[in-house]
Amino acid sequence: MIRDTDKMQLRVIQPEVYPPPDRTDLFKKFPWLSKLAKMRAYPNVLVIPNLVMFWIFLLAGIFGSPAGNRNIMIVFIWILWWFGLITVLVPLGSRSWCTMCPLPFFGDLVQRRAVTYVRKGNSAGTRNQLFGKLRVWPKKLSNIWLQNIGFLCLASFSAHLVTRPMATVLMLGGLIVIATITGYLYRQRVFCNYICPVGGFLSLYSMTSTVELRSRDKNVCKKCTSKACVAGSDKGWGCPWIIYMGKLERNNYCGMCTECVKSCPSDNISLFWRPFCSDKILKGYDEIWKAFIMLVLAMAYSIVLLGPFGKIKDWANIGEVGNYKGFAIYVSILWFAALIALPAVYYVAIRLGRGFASKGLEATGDGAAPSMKDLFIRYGYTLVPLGLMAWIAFSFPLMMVSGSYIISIISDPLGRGWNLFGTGEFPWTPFHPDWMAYIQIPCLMFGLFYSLKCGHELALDLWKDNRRAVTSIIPLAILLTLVTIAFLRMYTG
Amino acid sequence: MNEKIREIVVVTAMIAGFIGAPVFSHYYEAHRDNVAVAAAPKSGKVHTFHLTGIAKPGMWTLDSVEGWNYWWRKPTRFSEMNVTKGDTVIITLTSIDVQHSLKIPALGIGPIEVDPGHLKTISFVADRAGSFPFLCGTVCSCTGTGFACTLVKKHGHEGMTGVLTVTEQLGNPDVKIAVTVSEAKGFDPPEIKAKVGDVVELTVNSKSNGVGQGVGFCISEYETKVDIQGIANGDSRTFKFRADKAGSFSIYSSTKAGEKIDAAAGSFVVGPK
Ligand code: SF4
Ligand code: SF4
Ligand code: SF4
Ligand SMILES: [Cu+2]
Repeated sequence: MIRDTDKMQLRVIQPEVYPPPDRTDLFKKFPWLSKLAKMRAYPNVLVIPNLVMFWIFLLAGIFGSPAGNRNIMIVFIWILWWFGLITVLVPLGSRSWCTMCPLPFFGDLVQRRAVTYVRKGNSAGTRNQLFGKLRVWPKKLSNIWLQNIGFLCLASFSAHLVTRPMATVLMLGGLIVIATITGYLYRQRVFCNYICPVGGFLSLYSMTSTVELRSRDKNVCKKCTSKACVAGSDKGWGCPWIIYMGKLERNNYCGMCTECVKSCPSDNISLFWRPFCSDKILKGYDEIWKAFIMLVLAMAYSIVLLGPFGKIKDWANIGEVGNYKGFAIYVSILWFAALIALPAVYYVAIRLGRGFASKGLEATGDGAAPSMKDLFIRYGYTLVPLGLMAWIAFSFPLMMVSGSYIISIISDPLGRGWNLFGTGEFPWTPFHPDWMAYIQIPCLMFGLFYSLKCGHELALDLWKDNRRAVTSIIPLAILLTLVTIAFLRMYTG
Repeated sequence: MNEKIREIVVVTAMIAGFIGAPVFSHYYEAHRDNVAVAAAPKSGKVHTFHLTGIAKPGMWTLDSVEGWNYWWRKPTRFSEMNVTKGDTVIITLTSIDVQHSLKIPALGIGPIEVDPGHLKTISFVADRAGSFPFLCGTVCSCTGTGFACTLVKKHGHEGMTGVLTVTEQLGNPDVKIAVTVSEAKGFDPPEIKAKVGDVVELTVNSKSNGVGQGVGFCISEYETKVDIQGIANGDSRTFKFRADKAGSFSIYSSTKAGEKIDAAAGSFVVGPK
């Protein structure tokens, strides 16, 4: 763990008084943004239209064409939404998807019994009136393991999800049902914090994002008696993610719902622009395993969807080909690689690095080497920028090859031969597949660069000595470079 | 108070959106059907058939195949379309998996290609009586291992058949005749005579089970009117049709029914008026 006395020197920890030189106070710079965030109607002006749209998607999945590329459920979720999420919303907007996400709407409704106003009261530790059972989520499950496993499960069936509208209906419809039930049983957004499979990877990759919602001055928070950000007030609901702004240092679990902005009596919360990859601290095994899982999945999908291996493609496409044995092999490899193989290789790299770096440490009296556990978790962040950029590199071809479906789907959302805007017969037109490599290579190099840069900073904080720090991450750097090369080879053939 | 009204307005708008979407869909499709009817030739009764092509069981089905039932409800409704001569037939075509095409060879219709998730509409007047088989004219040219290819290789377009039956109100027959099919005498009598334009009422009596499947009865070049397979011993079938083509046409069993019946021959002679 970080030694407390050193906290202020750590370059990976954020300062108490904002903004430091590398941050820009966006609410100050663009007052309309602040006004928007304080409006009661925000974010529901986004959520409700999304909810209605989502309803149309569900209907399309149920009553529309079973052909995936002719159904808005598939084309808008797995091409448009996914692409927008991973290439724009996450890197530039943190969890701004969660701001407008329709999935927890009914769960919130069950608890709040209000859409456009705030109920004053006193329940579940907040200054709002809340309904439902308002239980406390079990401590044992207060991590993202459920999200990790959920995401792996969904990922195993990805071939169904992206080709069969009905599979996506069941999945997303199921998530709404679960969100509503947990909304009734437990207080606040238990679903988003601990269950939503999308939330898991959003939390991990939002660490890289170039915006953050923070309190401007943590000293004001210390003196603040109402703690309205977490407790709510007559102006806003208590933080649905149960976050106390005075301690918030990472983007991971802030859903950007702006309730705290509305309720803080000191106007102490703002949105800040910041450099890419500013949150650098992973805090537990659940988080680092999320990083393993995401990296392995990026690799697996690249192989299945973009790679030249027909056999593996068939294995993944169990529903169509009916090859259950092949599918079992595919899933086993996926889970093994994500949960055991990559972590093991990573462990070896960290262990070797630690061995090299701590040579002669005892003799100099510089103190002990950081523990294996600290190194294992901390260095895990190096998988984050690379993982995100690998996902982006993977998603570009999807958009470029299949993006033209969006144009025809707008006119024919159900794939029933409609032609609302005259584009229903727009043919499938891949967009410059020849440019792909020129997008993917820089993406991956950029990711690797940030991974190594962040790795170096993390190492410096842990070792306090540049030579040791560098030595300690050399095996890891080699591993990351090999991973990048593997991706590059896959993308460039 | 203001707050209450705002809440009600927002919630109502939301619910309106929920209800509006399916309502819109319903009216849009009803409107589209009307447009198709308006564009179709005007003759007799109008019949609209929605055919969906599926490679997996390999069929053109009249069932509507949608996201929810594609997986677990196997479409089983064989496509039989029955109309009366002179009626207007509108057929909409869609596919749910790969490209299919509709062909009604005897009517010279098609192949009309349809891509998954798209819709093609054809309309015509059924001006010839008879049974017109239709099929999928697409030949699988897949060489890959993609799922669509695997589907088609396993099941194929060949099975995608159905039949359009156009019946005619014929009035009283001009020629009424019964033919008995047996091993001893073959087709008895072996010759049927009629004049062009006559309405013929023909009864086929079977006196044999052939090789177990019964006997068949078919008049060449009149297949759309007289072609029956598998009439069991003791059964009979009656055809009523107009002899609209002059000439001499051979009669044969279209079911394999053993050496004797297979070799038997008859003729249908249609003389000038
Ligand atoms: S965590 Fe999941 S359900 Fe919750 S807002 Fe984010 S995406 Fe939506
Ligand atoms: S309400 Fe405002 S000032 Fe008080 S703790 Fe929260 S963010 Fe800080
Ligand atoms: S801290 Fe809480 S209330 Fe504030 S935006 Fe984030 S999730 Fe919402
Ligand atoms: Cu076909």
